[in-house]
Amino acid sequence: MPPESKLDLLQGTLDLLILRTLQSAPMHGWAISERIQQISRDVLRVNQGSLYPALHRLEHQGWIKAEWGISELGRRARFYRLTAAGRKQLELEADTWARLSQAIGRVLDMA
Amino acid sequence: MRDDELNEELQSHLAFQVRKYLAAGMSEAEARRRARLDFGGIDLTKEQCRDVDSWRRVEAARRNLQHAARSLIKSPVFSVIAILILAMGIGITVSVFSVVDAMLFRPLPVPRPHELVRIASIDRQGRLSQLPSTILDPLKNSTWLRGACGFDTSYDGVEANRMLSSIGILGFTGDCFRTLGVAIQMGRPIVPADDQAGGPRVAVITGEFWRRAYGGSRDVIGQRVRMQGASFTIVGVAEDRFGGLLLGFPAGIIIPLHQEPSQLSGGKKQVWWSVNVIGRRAAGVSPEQANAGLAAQSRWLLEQSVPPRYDAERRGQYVSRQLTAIPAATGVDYFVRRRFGEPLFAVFGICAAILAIACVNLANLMLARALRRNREVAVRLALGASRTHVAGLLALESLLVVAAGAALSLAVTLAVNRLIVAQGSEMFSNFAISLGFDSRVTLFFAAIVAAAASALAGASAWQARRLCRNGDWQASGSRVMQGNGAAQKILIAAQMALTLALVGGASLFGSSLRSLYSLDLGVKAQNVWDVLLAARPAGYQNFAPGPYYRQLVQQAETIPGITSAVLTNFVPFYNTLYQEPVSASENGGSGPEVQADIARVTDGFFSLMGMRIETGSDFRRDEESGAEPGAIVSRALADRLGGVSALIGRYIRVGRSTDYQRLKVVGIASDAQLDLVDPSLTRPFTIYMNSWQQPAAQAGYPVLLLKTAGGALPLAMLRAAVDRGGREYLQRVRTLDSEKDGALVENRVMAYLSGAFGMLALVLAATGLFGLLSYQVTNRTSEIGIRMALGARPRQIQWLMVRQTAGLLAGGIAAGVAMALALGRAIAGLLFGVRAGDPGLLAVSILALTATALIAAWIPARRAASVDPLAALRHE
Repeated sequence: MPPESKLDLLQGTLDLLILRTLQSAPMHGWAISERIQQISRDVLRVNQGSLYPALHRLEHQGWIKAEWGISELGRRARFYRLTAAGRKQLELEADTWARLSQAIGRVLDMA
Repeated sequence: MRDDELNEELQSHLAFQVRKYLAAGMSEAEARRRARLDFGGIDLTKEQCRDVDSWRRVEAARRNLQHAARSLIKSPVFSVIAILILAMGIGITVSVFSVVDAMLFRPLPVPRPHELVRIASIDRQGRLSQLPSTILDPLKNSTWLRGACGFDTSYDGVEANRMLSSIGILGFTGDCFRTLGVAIQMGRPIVPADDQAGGPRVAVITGEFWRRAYGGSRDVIGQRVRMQGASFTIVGVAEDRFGGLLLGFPAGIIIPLHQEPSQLSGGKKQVWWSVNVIGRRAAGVSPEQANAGLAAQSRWLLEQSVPPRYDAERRGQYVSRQLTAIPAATGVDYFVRRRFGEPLFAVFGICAAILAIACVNLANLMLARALRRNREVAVRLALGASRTHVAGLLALESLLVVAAGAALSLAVTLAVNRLIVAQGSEMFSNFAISLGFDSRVTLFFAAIVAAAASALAGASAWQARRLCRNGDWQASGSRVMQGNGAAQKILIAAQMALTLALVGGASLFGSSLRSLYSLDLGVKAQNVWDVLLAARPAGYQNFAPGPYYRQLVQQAETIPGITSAVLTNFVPFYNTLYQEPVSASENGGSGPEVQADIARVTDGFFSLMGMRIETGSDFRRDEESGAEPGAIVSRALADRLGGVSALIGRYIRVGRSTDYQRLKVVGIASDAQLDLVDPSLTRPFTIYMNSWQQPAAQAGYPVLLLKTAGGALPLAMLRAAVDRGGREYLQRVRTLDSEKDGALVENRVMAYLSGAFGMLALVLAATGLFGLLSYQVTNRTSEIGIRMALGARPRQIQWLMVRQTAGLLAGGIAAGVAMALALGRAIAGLLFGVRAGDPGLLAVSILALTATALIAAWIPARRAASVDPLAALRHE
């Protein structure tokens, strides 16, 4: 990974991104990381070392659910989908994020 | 999620990444390499995922456990030694504690046992004695008592379910069941209506006897048991845990006091009994208040309860007695606690010390083991294991060792308990003690297992963390870590100190036992056997003891192999002789009184025991009760009463009984110690009385002393002779030598146990030192190599190792001498014929420790000296 193009994710934002990514459709781990990278135009890269622990954590919290399915490669993969609780959590976190970024933006504008 | 599923998920991720790179035009190999690179540490990720899944932690724990077990199996010698040391240490300590518990702490199985007090009269020497049952009625009026009752224990042959056995018989006053609250599991208890003259002959049996004699059969109620010619109807079975009220001497059968067998054979109607009085404090009355209440009422109580037919003198003595109320929650104790309490605590202390040494040692071995495994730990850390995880793994291994040791220790405890119970009933007849895991023992077991676990697991975890903090983990065995081993050295020195104290204690006990056995008791006990005779049921009815016993002794003497036979009322070394005040009669008056032991014997006793009649003559068998009663006086007593010549042919008074106010001294016997209650009393005052002259006084339950020509006792012929008489049976046969062993049992137990523990401590100390030095040799191989390459000679290298041992030893001895002296002072009361601070014994102990330490150091030192400098340096 070229260091200059990498932005470290703020603590907790990875969870938000994963939940948002899964809002449209169930996905497996690799697809999630690819999608985040793609939509963020390569600004955000998800380190696999943090992706899978995060997925397992979210699953444990009951916000996403995993099941085995067949991927486009024809082999087994674990597909994650958002649960109802996850949807609520996403709204909550998105709202928090919006307020936080607005606040930061205002501070920066003023300066 | 299972491990393989996690693996599959991560692999599928890699596959996607590879495909992406392939699509971008990379070669297959390049794509794979990049994908892996992107991913980073795959094991780390797995580890992190595992940490996330809470239920995976169970799986992780299982894996850790498996790993710990595997790593223990990989070093079987260490594991087996560690587990055995722990099992022995914990097992023996728990066993000794269960004895302490049974003797000192276990309450009677009745409601609110702490309310029970024993009320007894106390003499100037602090000895407690029984009270007449006449005191119970006035006592019941006391406001500080809720109730009071009396009991007495005797032992007799009882025939139950066609089985004859000698069991404890508990005579209860009518309200004992109610006052004590002893529960009944079947039938009914003994009630006040049973305990009166002419009352029904009823009995309640204990649960233990119920199972032993009746196999726990439900139709035991209404069955009859026979003792001394009377038959009793069983009306109830007491609850299982109740086995009487005397510590160590369980009863099998409970009858109303008015129906006691001794009463039945006597014929004279008894109106009062000498009993142990047990009272239950009223609610809210403290033990101090109870004693104050008793003190205030004492005189009145005694005046109200003077037994009938007491003359003025006895009455005066009786009412001037002192009364006391002592706690009786654990039952009534005659001598068990006094005799074994102190040795028991000493053994318990030694056990605890051994266990402490064992734990210190194991902790040490674990520390060394953890250090040795630094390569393994380094690899684990490099692979991403957290320090907590590594420390946890090492701690888990120690916990596994403790768990295995604790499990095995249960078997050790059971075996040792069985041994103690068997030895206990060998020691005293009728003695029985039940040991087991009651709540206190279980709690104690749990506590010491927890202590051992936290000590060992703590030591390993602490070492692991310290090593982790040491920064870069070089997977190298040659690194000498700064300041390592200081803790171990202190532990080793502490262990040596404890060992020295134990070995010193063992040498004191051993030497004490030697002086006891080399004591000249004034008797020759070789080839002498003692036989206890007990009555068959009704055996003593219409009994003429004089002719019966004369015939029995004559028959015994005609049995081939038996050279002489004597009847006594005591077993030498086994029974304690009772004492009476003795004085010489002078012109109708009497001289000063001396307390003397009273022994009843028949003719031939002195030659059978290897004693001499110094002046005068032995008793004669043909002397009838009508003749002038005679006595033989021990030399020491004769000297005390005015000298041999002043005494022989004159008269003495013994005790208060009218029969013994005028005994003619027919002989002076050489001094002999016939009991070993106080071994330092080498010239006891003893009066021997002629049993043939007083057959009625010794009727029943006599002791037959037999001397053989050297062979075994012809037991079958002896039994046949006794059985022919039809009145008695052989209750127990032993040699006098074994009686002597029995009398010295505390000393023997202490000597053997402390000796065994001392050896164990030495072995443990040697293992610990060996482990430490071996580890150091391994650790310092390259240093030693460099030294040798620079010209150090093997001798110097050996000295390097030995010097360290000498330093540890010096520290250990300095602390150990202080501890040994303190221990010596603590056990001084248990020693005989040896001074607690004996310098010779201490020197021997120090020598033993030094020799052991040097031997333990020798092997690693030689290994150090044989290091090949080339190989060692290549290692670096």
